[in-house]
Amino acid sequence: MTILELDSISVAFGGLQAVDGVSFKMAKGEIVGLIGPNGAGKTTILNVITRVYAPSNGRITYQGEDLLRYRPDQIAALGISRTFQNIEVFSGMAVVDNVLVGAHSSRRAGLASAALRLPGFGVEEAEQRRAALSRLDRLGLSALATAKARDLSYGQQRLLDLARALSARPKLLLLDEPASGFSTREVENLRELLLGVREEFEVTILVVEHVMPMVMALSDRIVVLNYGRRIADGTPREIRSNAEVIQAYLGAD
Amino acid sequence: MAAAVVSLGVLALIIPTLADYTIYILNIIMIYSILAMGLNLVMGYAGQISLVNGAFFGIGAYASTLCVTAVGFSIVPSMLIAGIFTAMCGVVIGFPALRLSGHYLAMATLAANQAIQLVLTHWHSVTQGMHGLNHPTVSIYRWELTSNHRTFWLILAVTSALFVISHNIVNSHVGRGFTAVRDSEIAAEVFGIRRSMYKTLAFSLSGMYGGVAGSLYAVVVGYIHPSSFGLLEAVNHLAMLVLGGMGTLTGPIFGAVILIVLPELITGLAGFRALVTGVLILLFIIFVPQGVAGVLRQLVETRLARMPPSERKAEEERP
Repeated sequence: MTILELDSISVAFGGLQAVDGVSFKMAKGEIVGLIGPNGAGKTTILNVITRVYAPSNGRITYQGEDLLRYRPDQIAALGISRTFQNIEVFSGMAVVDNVLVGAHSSRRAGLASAALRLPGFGVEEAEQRRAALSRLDRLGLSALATAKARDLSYGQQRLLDLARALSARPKLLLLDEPASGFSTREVENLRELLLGVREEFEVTILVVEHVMPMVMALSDRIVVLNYGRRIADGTPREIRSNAEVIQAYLGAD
Repeated sequence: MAAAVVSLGVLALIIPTLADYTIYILNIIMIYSILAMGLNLVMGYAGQISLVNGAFFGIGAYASTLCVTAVGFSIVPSMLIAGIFTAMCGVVIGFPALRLSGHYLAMATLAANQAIQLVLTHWHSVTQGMHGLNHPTVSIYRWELTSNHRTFWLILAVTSALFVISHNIVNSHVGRGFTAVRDSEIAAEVFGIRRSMYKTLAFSLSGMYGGVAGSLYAVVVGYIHPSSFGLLEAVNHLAMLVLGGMGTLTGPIFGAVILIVLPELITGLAGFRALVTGVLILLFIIFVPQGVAGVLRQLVETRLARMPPSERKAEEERP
């Protein structure tokens, strides 16, 4: 069953065609790798799906619905969540509060309920706090729950970024270079973590990644971009032997 | 709860013994705490630079005074109307914040502050311009607010209520939404926090706090004048926030205490008040950027960290 379909999506920044007529589909529960040389338009694709950028052309269908009808802040409630290449944790907030923000879109209580602590607010808050702590526990961050996010190490911040994204209970999780800056061993841990997360949270994952061993071992399918165009779409085995992909990466004539 | 009852009892014993002028200073401190609490929500938590707080203060003072004198309302409804009105002004003034940030937002809110002061000065038929407005003695049912001692309890009640509300907001998804917008607008939006709504809400709340403070100020001082609500006022509120600790709940109170009590201690140096304040702000920004409340919190945290784990747990679980 298809959860997400991009249909000839184009994005232009001024004269620069960042993404040029890209189409691909994702089946429910699939892990799809999105790769390509620098500037190929990978992060732009994630930003289009989360509505940060409006495409100049094309359609996105998510669970049978036109995704382009929604504002960026409505995307989380549809079950789409993401991590960031530059991490973007809320640095001045406690770790557990970062994860709580991840669950923001499921809040029912309003301002008055929060300001005056009306009945129901406390129940919802306690419930979400418990869920946030268990999320942190799953990723091995529970000892740091009350620390400020800015005091975490780089690797811990990456995990926090992931914990926050999972806290939104996503059906579709978009990961932007989750393994960048990781050692070989950390990359291996991350791969296992993500495979576990897919089972546990029944989530479909689109992962932008430069670390090739990671993306080859993790993905069910790989989409390759070059200069904003899709040049290949197939299993890791197919991609490895694809002449056009090799040329894009090695620059051979 | 028990602690609150005990402190109220102690206050009830102490307050009558204090001199009128001391109570006046306490009232002014509480009023400025409210102002700084409002500014703290928009600047400390939501991270939006606001130099329009002096105008909210003024609009609230005039709106409330006019409700009492021209319409004949009692003080409590007048204060509520002033708060609601300035909250709406906050929505309008927060509008540029949706498009501007940093220095540009500072300039836009500064301009709004100046414009409002000009309106207060020149809209003679309503505000009496530079003549100012007198605020008559008001009463709550039969409790006439004839002295600073009597007004104290009204101001204490309002300040406490607004402190609790600000505490509740900060420790909720709404407050986390403010801080999220401050720390990363792009990530906030991805998790369903509508930036425009949260920025508007923060300005509106700071407007409400400013308006209520203005209403109480008119009651305490008994006379309002456009010059009490200018840019210097806005800067003064900002200074309280910096000294007390921006983005901390008790920071506004510490800041108000410092900047109200300090001039009283250096009356001999009256002409140097602005200079002393300025030097103090500089020193704090360089050496104590987290403010008094931030330093106190660090002290408590280091003490907790030194305790054996069993005691620490008990301490943390204390309500």
